[in-house]
Amino acid sequence: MRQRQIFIFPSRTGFFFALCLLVMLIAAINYQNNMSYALTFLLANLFVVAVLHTYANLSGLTVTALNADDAFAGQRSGFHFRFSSGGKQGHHALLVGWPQPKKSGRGRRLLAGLFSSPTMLAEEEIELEPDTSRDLVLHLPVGSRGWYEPGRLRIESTYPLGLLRCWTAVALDQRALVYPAPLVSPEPTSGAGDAQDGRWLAGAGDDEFSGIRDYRAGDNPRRVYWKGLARGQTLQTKDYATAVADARWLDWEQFSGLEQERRLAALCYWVIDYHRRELEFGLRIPGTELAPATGDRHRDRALRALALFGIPQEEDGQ
Amino acid sequence: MSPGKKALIDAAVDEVATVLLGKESQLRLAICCLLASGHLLIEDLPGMGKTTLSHALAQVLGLSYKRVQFTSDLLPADILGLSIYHRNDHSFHFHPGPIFTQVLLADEINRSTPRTQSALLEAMAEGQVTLEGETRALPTPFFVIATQNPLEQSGTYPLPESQLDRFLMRIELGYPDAGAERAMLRGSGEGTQKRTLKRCIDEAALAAIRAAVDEVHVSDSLLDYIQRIAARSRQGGEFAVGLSPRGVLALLRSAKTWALMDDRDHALPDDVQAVLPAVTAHRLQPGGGFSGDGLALVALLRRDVDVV
Amino acid sequence: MKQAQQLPRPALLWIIVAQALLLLPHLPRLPLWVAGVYLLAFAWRVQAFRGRMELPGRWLKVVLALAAIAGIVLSFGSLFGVEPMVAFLLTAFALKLTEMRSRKDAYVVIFLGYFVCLTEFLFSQDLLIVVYSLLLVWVLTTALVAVHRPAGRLRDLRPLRKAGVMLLQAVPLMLVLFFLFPRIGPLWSVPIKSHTAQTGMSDRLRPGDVSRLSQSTEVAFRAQFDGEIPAVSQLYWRGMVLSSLEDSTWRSLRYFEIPAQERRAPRLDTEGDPLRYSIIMAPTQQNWLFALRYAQTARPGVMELNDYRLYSPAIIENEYRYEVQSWPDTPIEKELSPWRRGVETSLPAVDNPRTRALAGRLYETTDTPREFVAAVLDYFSNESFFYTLQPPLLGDTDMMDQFVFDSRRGFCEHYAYAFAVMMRSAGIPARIVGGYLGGEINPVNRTVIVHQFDAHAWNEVWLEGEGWVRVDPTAAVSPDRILYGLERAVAAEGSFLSDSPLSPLRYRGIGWINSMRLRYDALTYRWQSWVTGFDGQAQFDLLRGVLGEISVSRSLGLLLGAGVLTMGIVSLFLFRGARARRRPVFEEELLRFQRALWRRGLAPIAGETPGQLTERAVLRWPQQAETLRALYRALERSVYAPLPTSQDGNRLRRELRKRIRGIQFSL
Repeated sequence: MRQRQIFIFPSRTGFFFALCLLVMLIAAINYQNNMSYALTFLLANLFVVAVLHTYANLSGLTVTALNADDAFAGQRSGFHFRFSSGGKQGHHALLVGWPQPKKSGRGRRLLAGLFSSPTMLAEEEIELEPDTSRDLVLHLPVGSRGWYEPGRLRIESTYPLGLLRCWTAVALDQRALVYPAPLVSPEPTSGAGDAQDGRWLAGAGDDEFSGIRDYRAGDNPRRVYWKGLARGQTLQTKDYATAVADARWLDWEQFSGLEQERRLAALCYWVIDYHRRELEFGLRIPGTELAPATGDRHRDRALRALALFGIPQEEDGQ
Repeated sequence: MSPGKKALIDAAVDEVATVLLGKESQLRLAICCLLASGHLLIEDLPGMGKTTLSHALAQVLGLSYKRVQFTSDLLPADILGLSIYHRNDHSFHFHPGPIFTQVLLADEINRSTPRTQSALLEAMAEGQVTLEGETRALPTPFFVIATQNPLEQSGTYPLPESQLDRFLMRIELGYPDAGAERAMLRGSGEGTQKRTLKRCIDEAALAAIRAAVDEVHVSDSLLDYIQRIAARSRQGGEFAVGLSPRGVLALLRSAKTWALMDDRDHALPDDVQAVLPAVTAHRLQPGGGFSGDGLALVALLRRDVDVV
Repeated sequence: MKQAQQLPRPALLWIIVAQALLLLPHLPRLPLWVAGVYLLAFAWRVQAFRGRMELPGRWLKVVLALAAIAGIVLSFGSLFGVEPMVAFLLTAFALKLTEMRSRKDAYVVIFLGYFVCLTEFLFSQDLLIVVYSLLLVWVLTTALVAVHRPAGRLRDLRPLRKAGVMLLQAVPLMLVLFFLFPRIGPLWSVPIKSHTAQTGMSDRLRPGDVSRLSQSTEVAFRAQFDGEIPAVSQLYWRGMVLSSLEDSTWRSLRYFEIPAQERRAPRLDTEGDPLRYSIIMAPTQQNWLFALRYAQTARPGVMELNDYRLYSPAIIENEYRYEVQSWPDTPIEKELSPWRRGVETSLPAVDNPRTRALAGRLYETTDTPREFVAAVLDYFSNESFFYTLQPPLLGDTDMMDQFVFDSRRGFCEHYAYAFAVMMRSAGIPARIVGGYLGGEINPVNRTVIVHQFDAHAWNEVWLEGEGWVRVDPTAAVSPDRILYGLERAVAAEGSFLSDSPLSPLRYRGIGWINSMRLRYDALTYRWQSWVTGFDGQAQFDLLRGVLGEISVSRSLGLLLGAGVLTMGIVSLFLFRGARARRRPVFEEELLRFQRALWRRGLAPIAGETPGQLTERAVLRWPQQAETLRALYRALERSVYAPLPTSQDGNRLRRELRKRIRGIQFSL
């Protein structure tokens, strides 16, 4: 994010300082005291120089949005950023966060923004030495199911003197996936031997002959393809299609009594539960079907499908 | 370069497009991959036209073509070939397998066992086959177009990452759009499998094109961009595995070929971005906490890395 | 309270250091208890810092503040005036230390610190004080930077560096402002420094006053002559003229005692080239100025009084600079008015009978007033009178009788007093003149440094046809004093500066100390004439010299020019890091193109290629499609295509930049 607009305006402290300077100037005039003049002008110019230093503290900073952690609705999601400083300039006392949304009109908000910094959500202060980078995680409460976009990230600093406030709002294309909040519900009826599931399996995969595969350690000796071995082939195992038959299905229709969001929440609960119990399961909701499998990635895929149910998908990068 | 090359390539694309409707961008990528002397992996559901595409490609390039359907009982010898004892002359005769061709379609490569897969991939990488102590060179050019079923199902053996890296590009064909589908249903694509496509690029032209790729100019600025992309893929929590040096080289070579296909003697960031998903998506692994696949990672690379 | 708003410990430490340094130069002026309050506050803070004590509660703080105010009123008698104000500021400063928790409090303390720094200048603008104050400002600014540093290492010296760099960068523009800012008069009358002692000669003289002054090594004023410096023995710097004797004390005439028509002296006819010199006087808290006679000055506001001395209506509170022309040979007041004659011959009715009798006897032996003057001087030199810095104390009545007939040991004022009494008793107009005699010539910059120990008193006698004539009876007793100065005159006695053993003036015999002292003095002179004595007049001269003519536009131009130049240099210094990455050829131009479009409202999108950007621009400005695409193609070729060897890179660059400016203009 090399190019972005940086705003700078005196802080409250800055106005207070200006007032002090005015008093000092009046003292210098009234006492006709040259060194007082000099001191007043020195401090006034310190203010002017601080404009550049405050600006420089923010410029040259590179913010990269890294990933955003997935979260369940109502929880906090961790948004990951990388702050890096190119060049010889360090960046100090950076306040990073999202401004709390305000209800006032745009014009007033702009004016208020000049004079005071907004209340920040998930505020963090970071220091960055020259030519280094630092990763930062900001935890932000996320809203309801779907994609959560946190809006523009605000970076603000009053370093070095506190007289000026320099800020910038970085629009980073970053969003977190929000899963439905799990809802405890009775276990859906499904399981091994369900005729419907078996049929579906047969139809979906062209898997009717499982065939023979290379022997893998731990295979049942009864299934080893001894004949092949006798013919001088390598040790092989006979693979049976029934190995997948005890998969469970989580189906949209199983929770027909519930309205849409609660259905998703209930499915979400059972996805987590099955995954914890390391059971093989498949997921079927309108528009999406996931074949039975296990593992973290499978769970993530299932949760993602639940999160994005009914949300039009735009494929990024394509 | 001579103006003829772009015309040749365009003609080839147009020719293939007559049998594979509405897939021009994938088609261009596939041709780009072959021109860049790389192997192609097509990942899609059955029935999307993988076979059509590979067969058509072989025809317009005028190359010999063989197809192997990979199954779990396919053995290495079924691909590479084997020596058979002839009783007449009491000696072994080598019967070459289907791999001895210029374009090989390895259909549903993830159905066969890792042993068979690795036999093929080894041959792909080395351009030769070693059997019973004897090394036999494969014909040139030699392209492998492998297809893979994306659904993780039981009884499949997904290609390990190290093997995926050997494919220059991976593309998905996807469903045709409504217009193309309608045209297909109306019959303009019907029976095309049987039709013989016109040969558009002869062997000499192909060699010339492949040589011209090396001549495409790459400026420092573009190298910087590619390096920034590589650097970005190696940092950050989203990436469990970043781009390997081989991946970076693949990206560069593909971009150069893409530039050539656009009739330019220098490569642009636009070229890099055009081939970026196809070249890098299968080489990247999402890290923990990142809920997205390789393509989502590619999107990150594209977005986060400044072009200049 | 947010963690971010808390005061980091290093900042607290810097503030405490700054406070201690601030207090130090003010200490002699303050009642001791103010220092006590500070120490108490400091100890309290340290205990709180170590977690052993709680900071005071709100009520305790109110009580403390009220007690401090009461204490100041008790010590100074009032809250108004500079010293009570400073005392109040410093007390508030100390008390604030005990309630400092947040950044906000730190800001208050630091800004207050800057102000206390300023008050120090109201008392002295000496070079050393200024250097010290600069150090203070540095420490205060460091504290301000440290407020924004993370808490952590106490020995983090980076704030110190940052503050130093920023102050240095602020200096150039400060100088310009300093010389350009119009010097206007006070906006309203301000409390004067009521408690500061008046220094130097006063307008009342009792025996013993001048000899006491002779112990002071302070500089009274410095004079710089345009041409040759006259002989030191001729440098009688007139300050006040004492014409009235009451209760054994000589004093100058009050303004209201003078008849209206005689208050202003007529300008005298002068002949020949005058001595031209300028004087920078140390603040005296009094009104008179010093000059050689007969003096005129062009400085506006300075009055020439009827006894031919210079007088400033405003009290001299700061270094004061004025230009003088003097004609030493011009006779003063050839015609004496009857009122004046009456004043200058009056003596208290019964006083010093023995001295008067002596005068009468001497007067009878002479024919003319001039001979009488000589006779009195002869008397002083022939009788056994001693010139001494340690005269015996004289009783209150008939003081001169005691001196002339009994002690016969005295300093210049004794002789001047006795001489004036003897003249007046004979009916000859005579008065005492107070001022300084001589001075030290600094070889470094050819200034005459006049110290307080050069204070002197002498007489003026009015002679028919000659006007007022200077007579110095001390010369009759101790010619060395006139010719070589006080040090030589009292060398035998060893009493010179016996009260100031450390003064560098005592070591004038040691070469390098003396040369260093003189060099520093020359620096001070320069400092005073250029900086602390810089006023409306000097500003006018300087600006006319620099700008040719003085106008608002030229002054503003100078200010702006200096401002832009300084900021430019500072920016270069600050942003040089950002330019550290060397870009491949022509990439800079591509970026300019992006910026140009951005300025026209087309914001870049992350990860966009220049080609895509151009196409977006074409969508937005379709009528410019051709120009945009053509420029893009040129840029694209220059960045990504091989540059033909025949092409001149710099020319291409200039051309591209021109086209970019053109497109920015036309969109």
